[in-house]
Amino acid sequence: MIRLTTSTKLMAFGVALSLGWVVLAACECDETKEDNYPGFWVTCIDNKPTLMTYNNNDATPVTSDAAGSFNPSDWDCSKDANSPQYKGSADSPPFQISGPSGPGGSARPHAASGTTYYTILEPLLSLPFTPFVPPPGTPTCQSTFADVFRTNHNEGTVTRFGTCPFTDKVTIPVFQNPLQIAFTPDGTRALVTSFGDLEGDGGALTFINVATNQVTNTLMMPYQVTPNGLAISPDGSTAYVGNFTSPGQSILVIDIPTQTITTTINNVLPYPSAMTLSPDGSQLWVGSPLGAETDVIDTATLTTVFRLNIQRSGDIAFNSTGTMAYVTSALNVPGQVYAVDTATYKILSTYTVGNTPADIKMSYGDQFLVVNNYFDGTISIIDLRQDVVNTSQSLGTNPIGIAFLR
Amino acid sequence: MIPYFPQPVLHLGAFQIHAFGFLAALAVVLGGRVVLLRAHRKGIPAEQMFQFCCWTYLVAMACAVLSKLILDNFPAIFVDPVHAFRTNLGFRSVGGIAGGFVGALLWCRWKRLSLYETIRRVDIVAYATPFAWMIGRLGCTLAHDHRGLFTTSWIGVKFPEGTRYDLGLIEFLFLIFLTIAFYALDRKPRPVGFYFGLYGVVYGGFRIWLDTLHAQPLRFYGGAVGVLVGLSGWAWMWAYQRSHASEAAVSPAVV
Repeated sequence: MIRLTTSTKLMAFGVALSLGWVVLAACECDETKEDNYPGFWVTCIDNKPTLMTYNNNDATPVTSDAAGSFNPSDWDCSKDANSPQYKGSADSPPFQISGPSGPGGSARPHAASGTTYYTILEPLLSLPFTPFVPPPGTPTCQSTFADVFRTNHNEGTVTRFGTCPFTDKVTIPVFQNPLQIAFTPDGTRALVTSFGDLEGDGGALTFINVATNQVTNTLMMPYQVTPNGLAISPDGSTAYVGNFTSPGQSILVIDIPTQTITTTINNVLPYPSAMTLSPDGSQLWVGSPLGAETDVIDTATLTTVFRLNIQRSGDIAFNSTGTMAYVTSALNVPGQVYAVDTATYKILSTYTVGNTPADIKMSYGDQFLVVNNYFDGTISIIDLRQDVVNTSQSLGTNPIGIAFLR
Repeated sequence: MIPYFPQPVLHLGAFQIHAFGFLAALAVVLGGRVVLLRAHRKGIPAEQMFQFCCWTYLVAMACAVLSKLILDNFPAIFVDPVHAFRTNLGFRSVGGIAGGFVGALLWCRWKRLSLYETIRRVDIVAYATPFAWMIGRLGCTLAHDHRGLFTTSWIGVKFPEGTRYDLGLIEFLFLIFLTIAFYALDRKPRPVGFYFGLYGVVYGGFRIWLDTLHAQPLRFYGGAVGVLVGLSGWAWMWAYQRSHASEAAVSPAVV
C-alpha cells in the first residue's frame, strides 16, 4: 500500500477530477436517438412498408412523407416480415432498411467529427449563422408558406422544415460543420458552406437538389480553405464563398453550372462571413463579427473598391434599389446599425439596437429593418419611415439567423 | 473498405459517456499502472513515481487544453479575451506531449534529481506510452476525428462524404505493433534512455509518413521533432554508456 503525502494526494485528486471531466464532459445530455440517428428508414408494420424516424428516443411511423420520396409500392413485406425488400426502380433504396430498433450500420456522422470538444458555454463566435426557425403554431399558417432549411452545425446536416404545419420534413447529411445555406434564385438548388474539421484543414460546398432533397455534389475545398460566408448572384450563375480561416482568408468565386472554383480573391479582410450582394449583383459587401472593417468588392473586376470603417459587422442588408446598405456592428454595447449610401460610401444614419446584432433583414417596401441581437436575445425593428428603433424584451437565448417567409 | 459507424455512446441515466472520453481516461489509468509497475521493478519509490506521474499528467493536460484553446482561437481571443471563456475546449496532443515532457523535467529539477535519474524516469514513461497511446487512439478511431485524404484503399473508411483514410485507425493499428515490440524488447535489459530514444525515432518517423495521408500539404515538423528528440535521447544514452564504460561490468545505466 502506497502512503501518500498531502501534496501527492492533492495531485491525485486533481488527476481524478480531470479524468472524471474527460469521461463525463463529452456528455451531450440533450442528445437523443433522434440526434444520433437523424433521418428515415423503412420497416414492415403489419406487413405494410412503413417509413420510420426517431422522435426523441421513440421510433415513430411517418404518417406523411412531405418530401414525397417514399413510395410504399417500392417495398415488399411479403417475403420477410421483419425487413422489407426494395423493388423500386432506382439502383439503391432512398432509405435505409431496418427493423424498428433503428437504422443499422450507417447513420450519419456524430457531432464529434473534428477533435473531440467539450462546451463550457454557448460558443459566441463558433461560426455563425444558422437560420433561426420560428416556433410551431404560427397563427396565420397558410399552406403556401415556404419551407425553411436549417444547417445543423454540430451534426453535419441540413434539416428541411415545413412551416405550415410546422414539421420536420427531412434531414440531409452534408459535409462536416455546415454553416450557411443559400438558394439559387430559381429555387432549384441549395448551396451549403461547410467549415470542415475544426483543425481548419478544409471544408466543402455542398449542392442540394431542393426537389429531391438529395446532395448532388460535394465540392471539396483546397487545404485550409474553410467556407463560411455565402452569397449567390441574382442570375444564379455565381456563388461567392468566404474562406474564414485567417491568415490566408479569401473569397472563392464558384461557377454554379459547372460547380467549379473559377477565381480566388485574396486581398480581403480577415474572417469573411457576412456576405451580401447588392440587388443588381454588382457589389459584394463582406463583413465579419471579428473584422476591423467591412469590404466592398466590385464583382465585375473582383477587386476591393472600398473599405468601410465599420467593425465587427455580423450582417448586411440592402434596400430594394440598392442605394442604401445597412451594416450591423457589434463593436459597442449596445450595438449599432449603420445606414451607408452605396454611391458615396458615407454613413448617413446610425441606429442603436440591442447587444451584438447578428443578422439584419429588410422587410417589404423598404420600410422596416429587422435585427436580431445575439447577446441579449432581443429583436430590434428599425422603422425607416420615422427613423425610430424599437427593441423588444429578450425573446430567447442567443438567436442567430432570421428569414422572412415569402 | 471499412464501414463508417457513429461513435458509440453509453447512456447512463442523465449521463452519456462517449467512447472517446471513456477510452482516453482508460488510457491514462492503464499508462499510469504500467509506469508504476515498471518503476517498482526499477527500484524507484512508488509514492515518488506516483507524484511524478500525477504532476506530469496535470501539466500535460493543462498544456493540451491551453494549446488547443490558444492556437485555435488566438485571433478571436486577441479581439475579445472573454472569448476564451465562451469557446469549446479540446485537446492538442502536441501541446500535451510537449507540456508533459517539460513538466516532467521541471518536476525532476524541483526534486533536484540528476540528469541520469531524470532520464531514467522519462524512459519509464516512454516505455509505457505506446500502451496508453494505443488505447487513446482507439478512442480516436471510434470518434473518427482524424480524417485523411480520399482513397480507394482497402483501409479507407466510408465516411458520409466519401471514402478516406481514418488516420486514428491507422495509428491505432501501428501502435498495436509498437506496443508488442516494446513488450518483446523488454525481455532483455536495455540502457537507460533506450525506450525514450526508440519511441521518439519510431513514432516520430511514423508520424512523418502518416502526415502524408493527411488532408493538408506535407508537414513534417511534428514527426521530425519527435525523431530529433529521440535521437538526442539515444545520443545521451550512448555518451553515458561510453563515459561509464570503465566502471562496473554491468553499468548502472542498464537496469
